[in-house]
Amino acid sequence: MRAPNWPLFLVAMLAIALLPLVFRNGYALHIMILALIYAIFAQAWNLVTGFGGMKTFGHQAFFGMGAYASALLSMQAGLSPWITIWIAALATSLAGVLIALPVLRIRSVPHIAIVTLAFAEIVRIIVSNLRGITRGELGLIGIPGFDALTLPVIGLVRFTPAQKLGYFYLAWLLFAVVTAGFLAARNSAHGMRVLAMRDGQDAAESLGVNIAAYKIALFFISAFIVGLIGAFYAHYIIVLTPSSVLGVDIMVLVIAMTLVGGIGTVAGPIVGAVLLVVSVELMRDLGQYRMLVYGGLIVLSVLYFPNGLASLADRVRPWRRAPERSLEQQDNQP
Amino acid sequence: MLEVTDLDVHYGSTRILWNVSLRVAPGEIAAIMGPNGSGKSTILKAIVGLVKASGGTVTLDGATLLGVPTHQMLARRVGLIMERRCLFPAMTVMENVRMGAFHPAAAAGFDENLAWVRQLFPVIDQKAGVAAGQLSGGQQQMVAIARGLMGAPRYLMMDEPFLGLSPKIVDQIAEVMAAVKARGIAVVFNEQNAHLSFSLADRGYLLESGRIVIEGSGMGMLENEKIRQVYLGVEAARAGDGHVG
Amino acid sequence: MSAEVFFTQILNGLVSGAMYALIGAGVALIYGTQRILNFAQGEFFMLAAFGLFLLSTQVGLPLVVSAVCAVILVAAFAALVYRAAIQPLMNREGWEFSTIAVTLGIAVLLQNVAFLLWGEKYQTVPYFIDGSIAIAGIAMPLQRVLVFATCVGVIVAMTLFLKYSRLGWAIRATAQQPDAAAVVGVPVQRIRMLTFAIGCGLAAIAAVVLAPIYAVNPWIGVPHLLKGFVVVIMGGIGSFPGAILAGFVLGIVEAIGITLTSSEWRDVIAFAAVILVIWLRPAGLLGKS
Repeated sequence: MRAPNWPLFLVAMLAIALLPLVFRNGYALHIMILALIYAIFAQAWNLVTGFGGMKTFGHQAFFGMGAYASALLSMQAGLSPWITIWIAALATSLAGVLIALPVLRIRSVPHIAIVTLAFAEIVRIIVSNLRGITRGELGLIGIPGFDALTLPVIGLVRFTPAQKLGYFYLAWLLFAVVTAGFLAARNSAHGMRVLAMRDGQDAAESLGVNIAAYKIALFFISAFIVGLIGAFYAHYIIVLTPSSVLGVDIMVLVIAMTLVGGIGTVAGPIVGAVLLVVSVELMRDLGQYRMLVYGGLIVLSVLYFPNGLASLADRVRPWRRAPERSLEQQDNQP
Repeated sequence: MLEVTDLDVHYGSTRILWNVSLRVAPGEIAAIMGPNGSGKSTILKAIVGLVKASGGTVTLDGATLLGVPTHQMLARRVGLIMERRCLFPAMTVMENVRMGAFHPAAAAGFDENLAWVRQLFPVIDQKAGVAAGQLSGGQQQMVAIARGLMGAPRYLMMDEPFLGLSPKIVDQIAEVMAAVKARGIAVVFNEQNAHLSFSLADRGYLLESGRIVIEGSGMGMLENEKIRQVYLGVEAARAGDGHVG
Repeated sequence: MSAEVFFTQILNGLVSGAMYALIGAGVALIYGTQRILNFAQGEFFMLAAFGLFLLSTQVGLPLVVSAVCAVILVAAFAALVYRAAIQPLMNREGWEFSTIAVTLGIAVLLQNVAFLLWGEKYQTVPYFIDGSIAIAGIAMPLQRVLVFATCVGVIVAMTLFLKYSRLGWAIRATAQQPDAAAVVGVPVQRIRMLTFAIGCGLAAIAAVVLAPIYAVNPWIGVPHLLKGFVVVIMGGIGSFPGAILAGFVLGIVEAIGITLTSSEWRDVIAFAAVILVIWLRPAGLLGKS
């Protein structure tokens, strides 16, 4: 088992932190913030789907719940977004546990797909219908941004649509923490047990892995991260509609990113998210083709590139190990 | 003549069969005997193309069978009776039997073959409308054999036809096998019990860990020193247990 | 609820139930034979509706001819999609997920191609038959009667086809034991492609009879796909008769439910029921768990 390459990680994080020195205009910052948001989102989806082996299609619910919960809390209870994002993330992670419960009982991929999709549709319809609270498809407006902070050395940091630098570094910080967490967990004893569970539930169970606890934990963590980044998104973008944060389109985006980058790898979702957000934004004039591109990319990568771009790195550097496969999987060859 | 020469099979990176060669002449019975996991079923599946061979040849009267799609095997008059779990469980017994003659090559002798298998296996008429999945193990095996015979094969592979059956049913199926032979149909079957295998067979093969280690006539195999010691000796000690799968 | 309202809703429920049953039967047929959850089912529905619209109003073919052509074209296109994008996945590791992902991708692709080609505007298709008849004193538009009759007729025909035709036997055998089916001479790959085409064709038939009632735009397939999923889960995933029964149950429950609550909560109830069914009875309402 390879240990995570921490020096490379630190260099990469530093490089990202320096990007605003090069790209300083608001539009470039906006794209970079979006890329970081999706990179976090895709990593969290990949945690349940790629590493946990539970193929869910309903993570847009967690994103939207985090966004709406934090927005509504800050607007109606007057709490600071700095506090509400954590409450929203926690509430979302509880919803994650709730949806994990039916998933615990089933292994069938189609059943899990339908349960999670049905759950997300329920959330979307509820948010659309509770017009008294959410204003439905008219959109929730007037969501406060993060309160300004005074930091040592740096001084006053503002979070407004005109001043995106603070948002960028906040997204960067979240991204760094989440990615570091995944890198560390991937090679830990817990990470090994999760992979063992994905590759053969019965074998893992016979080795004493508490499958139910791990599945619930994966949903809890994943929903927490997606809820948190959804909440961040709400206070960044300031306007929410059910279709923009709860629609199936969001899930399609994240699936496309993860598959293009490489499902079941730490780097894959990050690479995919950055590549797709940036390239689609570069083709901004082709905006109406955006979903077409995502749909096409899913089809192409599933058919011709099932291991994604992350596997390309392995081909280019042949001395690197191919993705680990458990013994169980080899035994189960036809 | 059905001839298998130097057949190799791999599952992924694991090798299952090593240079397996065997043959069966028209109207003969050949038995492949070997312990559990020795690769017996794989040979039969490779012959009909359900498993891909990685080396060697399979020929029928000189024409190659490798590469012929499984669903065209009956056009060459080669049939396979899989383990009885491979019945169509939600189809009725009669549907299963008739399904055996799905291939156009089996259409010509349909009525005659149907009459024959109904006579061989009264269970077909007794349970005609019952879903095959509801039958007992022995009944399922009979329906499976009937389905295989309906394909009008000249060479019939039978995968573990005696597995897990009571001694009485084992005897019944052995009789059926003799009747099949009497019709001029060659049979290749596999089985773990040496005495059962070689007393039925004209030609016998002992398979261990994917390799044919001994071959000879059925009689010759029963008299072979190693087989007597290792396989028949063990059985002598267990005499009275009846047949166990 | 007055008796008349109740009876009207039962009639409406039977009509939409027949439609759900037909769409669900298509999903169940494809899932039952090869364990593929086809996320693009709704888009074949949408394409058939557009096919009817274009052939009848743009090309100028008679309505019925357009409808038949649209269904055949969609089924042929589905066979092509299967051959190009799904069959290559079937022997790979993880095909259960990759077939879902690829059909989801195809669904998004088809929606957006339709959007670029034909725009977002709702297009209307004329009724096949105008007028209405009175059933026990309640007026039913003949088009709705036609929807019911077509859906029920196709389901009956399909059931007979599976039970008695040579092809139907091949489909059932392939679903139950593909290796054994191949051994007795069934060309399994071709049968699977055909089954996929038929399954999508059932959605297409539902689409052409419904198009005059609901109008046509690129996004109309999605709700039908979700309803199809609801129906197959309720009926026991992959069970053809289960899907049909569940379709009618859903149609009637919804129709009565709408009069009790407001219609915007209808789908919440259906989806929540699905989660509960999967949670408590994963084999479906009728299945053995």
